[in-house]
Amino acid sequence: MNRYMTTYFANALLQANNVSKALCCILKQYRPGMKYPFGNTSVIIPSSVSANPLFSHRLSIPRRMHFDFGTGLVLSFAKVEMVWIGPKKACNAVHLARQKEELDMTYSTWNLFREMESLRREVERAFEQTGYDWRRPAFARAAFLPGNSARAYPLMNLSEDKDHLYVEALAPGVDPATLDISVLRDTLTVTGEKQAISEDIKPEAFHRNERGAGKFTRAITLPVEVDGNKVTAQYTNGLLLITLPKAEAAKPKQISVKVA
Amino acid sequence: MKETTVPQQQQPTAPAETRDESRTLTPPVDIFDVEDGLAVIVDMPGVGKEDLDIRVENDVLTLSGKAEQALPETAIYTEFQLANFFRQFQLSDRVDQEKIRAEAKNGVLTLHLPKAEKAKPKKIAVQVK
Repeated sequence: MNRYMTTYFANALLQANNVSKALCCILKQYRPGMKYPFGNTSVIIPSSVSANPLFSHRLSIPRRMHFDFGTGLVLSFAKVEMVWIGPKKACNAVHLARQKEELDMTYSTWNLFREMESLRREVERAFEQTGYDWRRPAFARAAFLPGNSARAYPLMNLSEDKDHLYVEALAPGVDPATLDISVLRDTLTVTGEKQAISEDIKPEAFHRNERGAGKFTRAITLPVEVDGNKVTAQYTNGLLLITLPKAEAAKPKQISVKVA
Repeated sequence: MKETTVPQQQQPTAPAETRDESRTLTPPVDIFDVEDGLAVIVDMPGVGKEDLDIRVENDVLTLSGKAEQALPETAIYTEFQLANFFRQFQLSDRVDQEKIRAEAKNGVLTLHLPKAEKAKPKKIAVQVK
């Protein structure tokens, strides 16, 4: 049988939590179980007994990166070598893994798709912080500020505390008279019109036209039901802040336990 | 398996900060001609009148603003994060830099740059003898 079976898969550094760390790791070879310094923290490459204890695996990340134009992700292809170690060494490895409490990886299927999904989420989170929408193809990415991009407008942030949900919408230049906010159970709909420059200005007179204008509508589904009668909205400096109190039925109720 | 640590090199002490590491956003603008000058409309959401800073120095018009965002209690879903805005434009001497007017409303800043006297077309009367 083959002593080495190699599989290629896309992988980011397994414990790195940002894109720059992932990219640094692509350029070197990292051994599982070792601890490497990154800036002022250090990262441990997880070593684990592979799904099949009769093989041990060694991870190496060659100097090759692939930029996927479809998703805008930088993928690295890592090589996993599975080395037959035989039953005796396998028992030893499992024993060692138990001692070091790495047992959660032992005997559980290592799911390739789960790894890729968590990679995708990591990179997505990293890119989101820069306001950069990687989901769109490179040629269609516009500045994230409200303007000409064909994405959902207005951009919204959703947050909550114990009794309220807060929606903050990025909508500068909207005529407050045209704003129409409506709530139905758990759906919030915001409709309005962003003031366009008056019709008298001919298109030839423009030097730059980066802002968009016109009617918009957006409906988002809220995670909990809200009380439609008590919703308030405030529009300051182009930010629309909508405060939605949670419906009574949706609030968590404390249940006390009586000990008989 | 024994854990080994690759020794970390000592970082030299950083030199004095001469750069501002903060992130800035470029606000979108519309620039067009009006009868007696140029109009500049800038989208700056989240910036109030006090946080706006508009200045003209050496023919450079600088627009900057500090954005204030309502801090979320516990963020569930974030689509945007505001940062300070910054954009600069080079003005020619056809713009009268003393008389620039600005007004801010609903997160939109409108600037009016009037044409300088010498750039205005002057009508010369023809006297017929």
